[in-house]
Amino acid sequence: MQDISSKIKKSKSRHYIKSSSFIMALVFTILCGAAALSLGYFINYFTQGHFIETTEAALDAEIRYIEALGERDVLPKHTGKLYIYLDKNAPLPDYLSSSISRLAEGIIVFNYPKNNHRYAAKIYTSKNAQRILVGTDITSISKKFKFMQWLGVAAICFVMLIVFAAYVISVFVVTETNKIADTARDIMNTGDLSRRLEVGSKWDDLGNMTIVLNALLARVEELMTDVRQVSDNIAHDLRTPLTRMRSNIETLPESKNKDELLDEADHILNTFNALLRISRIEAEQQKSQFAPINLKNLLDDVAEFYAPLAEEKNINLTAILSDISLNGDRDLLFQAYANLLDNAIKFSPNGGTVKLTLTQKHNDTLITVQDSGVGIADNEKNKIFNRFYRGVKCRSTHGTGLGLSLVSAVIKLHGGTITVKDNNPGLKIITIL
Amino acid sequence: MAKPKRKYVCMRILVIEDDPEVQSYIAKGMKEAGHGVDTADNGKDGLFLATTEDYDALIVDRMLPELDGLTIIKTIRGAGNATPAIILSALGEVDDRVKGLRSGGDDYLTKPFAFAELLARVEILGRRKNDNLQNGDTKLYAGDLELDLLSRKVIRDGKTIDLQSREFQLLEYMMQNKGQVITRTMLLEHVWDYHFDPQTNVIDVHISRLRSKVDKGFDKAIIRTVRGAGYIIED
Repeated sequence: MQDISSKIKKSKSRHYIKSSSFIMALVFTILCGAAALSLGYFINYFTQGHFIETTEAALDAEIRYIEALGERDVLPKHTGKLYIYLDKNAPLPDYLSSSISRLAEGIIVFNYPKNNHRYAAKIYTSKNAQRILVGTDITSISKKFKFMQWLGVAAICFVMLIVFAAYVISVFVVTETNKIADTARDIMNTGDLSRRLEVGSKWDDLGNMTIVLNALLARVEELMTDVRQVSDNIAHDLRTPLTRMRSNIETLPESKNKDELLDEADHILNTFNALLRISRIEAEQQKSQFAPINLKNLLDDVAEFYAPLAEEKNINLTAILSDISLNGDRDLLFQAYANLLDNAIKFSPNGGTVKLTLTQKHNDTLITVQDSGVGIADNEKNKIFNRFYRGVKCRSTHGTGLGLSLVSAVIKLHGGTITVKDNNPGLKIITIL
Repeated sequence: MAKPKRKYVCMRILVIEDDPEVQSYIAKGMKEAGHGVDTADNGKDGLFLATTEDYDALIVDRMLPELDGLTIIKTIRGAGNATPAIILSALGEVDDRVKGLRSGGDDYLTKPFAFAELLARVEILGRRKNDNLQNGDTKLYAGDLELDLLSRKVIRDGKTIDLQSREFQLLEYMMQNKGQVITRTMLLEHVWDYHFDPQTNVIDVHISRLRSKVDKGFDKAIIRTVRGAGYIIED
């Protein structure tokens, strides 16, 4: 658990840039934009080209017609066409030059003020050097062309809108998934299965997923409680017949066998009691016993209590304690640190050292227990707080396998954390309250 | 049952317990230890007996039909009856212990318990009722061992024995209850003042250290081990 949770802690909330939905939205937008732009370009290119070609063809046909009329000096009167005689070498009339622009090689475009239509025109020089401006009305085509241009602009605006919508959607999705991930990570770190994910809204897929995940969490919690309940019930139900058995053994006549039987019965009863006690602590029913306590005095008492045991093994037991008080359950804290010290002394070799320290770091109260024993392998470090787990190196020693589970339950009850590190040699157990 | 040589006090004890198995187990054991026992298997009968008869100690189960154990104790305390009472509980939560003691109980024992533990506690409670007069003494004696509560000195056979403060407290508590079996849990509760469960025999190590100071070099051992129960200090 410890390893996994530390890894999880390190991975912070994902950035938008790294989010898959954001990247997908971005790719989608780029493709969409490219499609719109190329479509617009092609429409523009082809319509403009076609427009110029047809205009030029119409003008050329008109000019050929005038040529065919020859010297008769008569101009045709086709509708939508315009014919103006120009002076020799003179520029265009003033009323035209104000709005003139060039459409293609030799073709000009202007507004004809007399009827306010738009014309495309070519200048034709006849055989007798008469310059004639031949125009054709392009008002409706030009309007359509303008419309096409507007359509292109609208398409680009539309794509921009899609970009914006995609951004909003991806931000929403990333925020929501981040929220879910954060809560899930919290649940894993604290082991508090009673927590639920926040359901933002019911209509979107994420909301739906959150509801399903919450149902999953509820099921996991139920199963975990069931497992605990079962072991508690076994312990509870077996305790009564065991007590009866123990009292029956007590009434037996004195013998060596009787003492062994009593020891055995006591061991089983102690295991059951410890199991039930851990469950009660984990159920957080014991906060009612919380009161201000002087941690220094308490740890002093623990160290003093274990001093003779350390002395017997020639272990150098030192306690470096700062004067710190906090709110807690006196008996449970004593039990927790007694268990830790008991282990430290048990697993330290003769002549080893055991160190108990209490320090304040920022807002945290740090209590460490260090020993110079055999230590434990890395792959066992996250298991030692599990119920009934007994390390490879201590299977042969006396104990229930519940001591550290109890410690962990007590520390959690006080809102603290517990971590295991190598002390080289030995083990360092750090508790933060 | 280990039968230590102890100051023989015959007590009259009332056991209020609804589980017949536990009730007969306690009654049988108490009778074997030389005490007179009355029993009741529900709260109402129990309260009736406790108020009408004169007992040296009450053993009351917490959960009883008709009337629960804490109410019985509160009721008799309210009536000015100070008979020492020990509460038995199957729940064993720390919270319960505090509630039990607040309601007027003198001691609290969690099921399952060793009979020796219950007997030791009941006998101490019963004796406290009789020997309250001794409270004015400032010196405790056990054989040729003398413990001065004021100067905090321990003298045996004219020689001063150097004790650390915890060792002094240990000896003081045992000498105050001279002739009574003291269990390891009782020592934890009274000398160290913590309710907890030591994983190893640390108490025995403390006692053996005290013993090496008090009894070493003397013919007669003052601190004796009672097998299956605890320790006893005798004259």
